[in-house]
Amino acid sequence: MNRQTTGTGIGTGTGDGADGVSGADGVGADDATHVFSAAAVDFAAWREGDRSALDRLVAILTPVLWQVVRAYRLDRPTAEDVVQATWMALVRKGHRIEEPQAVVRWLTVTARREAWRSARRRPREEPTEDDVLDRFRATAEEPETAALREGRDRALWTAFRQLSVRCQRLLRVVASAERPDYTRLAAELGMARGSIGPTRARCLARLRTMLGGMADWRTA
Amino acid sequence: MSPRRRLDDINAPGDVDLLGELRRMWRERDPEPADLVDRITFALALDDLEVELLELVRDRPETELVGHRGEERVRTLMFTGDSLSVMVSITPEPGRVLRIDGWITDGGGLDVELKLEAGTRRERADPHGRFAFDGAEGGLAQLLFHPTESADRALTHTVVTPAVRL
Repeated sequence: MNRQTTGTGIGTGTGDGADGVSGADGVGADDATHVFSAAAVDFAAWREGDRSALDRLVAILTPVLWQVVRAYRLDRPTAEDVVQATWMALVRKGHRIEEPQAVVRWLTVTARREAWRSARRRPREEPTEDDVLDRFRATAEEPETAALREGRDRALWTAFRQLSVRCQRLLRVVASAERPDYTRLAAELGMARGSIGPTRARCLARLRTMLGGMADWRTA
Repeated sequence: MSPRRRLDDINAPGDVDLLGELRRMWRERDPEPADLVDRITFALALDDLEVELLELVRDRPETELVGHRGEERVRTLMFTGDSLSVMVSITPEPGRVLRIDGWITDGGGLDVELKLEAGTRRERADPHGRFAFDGAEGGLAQLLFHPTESADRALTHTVVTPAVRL
């Protein structure tokens, strides 16, 4: 997927419209290129026998894999298990990856497969996600900005949770993939490939309509 | 914004913004647990990498009445996989240490290794598949089940649990 050679593109925003707000963990979409490059370097070093490179790889990519896995509506403990299983699989089978640049793709595909398997094994339609709302207060910022952002994110989270299960899964899966593979997504979501784009647009339109009715979203 | 945008226009600017907004919200408000990276690093530090990973299927704190000492918190974990199922209960002991009692289904005679941050301990499960470790410190922990010649079950590989925080 990503053929960037290492050392390029660091810090150059790819402009995904995230409003200039990048994740505190440094793996916002804008940093995707940097993550890909760093991961390829560490993976190559680990295969050459540098054990600490694996620890760096885990630190860089675990936040990415977490988002990939949470897209499958797994509860947090199950999601933790799936991420651990994904890393375990890399350590066992990583030698089959031909090019270091392919490691991120290999990991995300493996994480999706594990998550999908896990989600089917325990068909819990409504995992408890209240704990997520509880943590909304946890970000440390200037109180005023924080309160506005908190209200806005609460509105977004609440509106999102009112979408159909199908819309929720589709949007989170699509958003979690840096470069979505639509053929694979179609198979996972049980949809025709050609209907992903239109469905995505419809789901976003519905989300926007719901957000329009929420004061916290409009005033922020 | 036009209410009747073309539905197949998957790169509509507003959509990209909204998806970016969702992505940011998830990253900030639903991040991975703070110690997940540590747990994974701990779990990957194995000598033998040809292992089977069990899945944690239950993690439940339970309160029991324990004689004159009154209530005591017991945590019960259950792991399962293709080769084994294991039930583990963790009980606080005096002196801020823990007792770990476990039972492997049809697992008599397997070697059980308890990996802690401070080091590892190893013992053989009894003929019923029971094992116990006392005086374990809290922190990250992982159980490994090794094949033995006298085991009831002919494992061909080591089976491990995910790393959990005690």
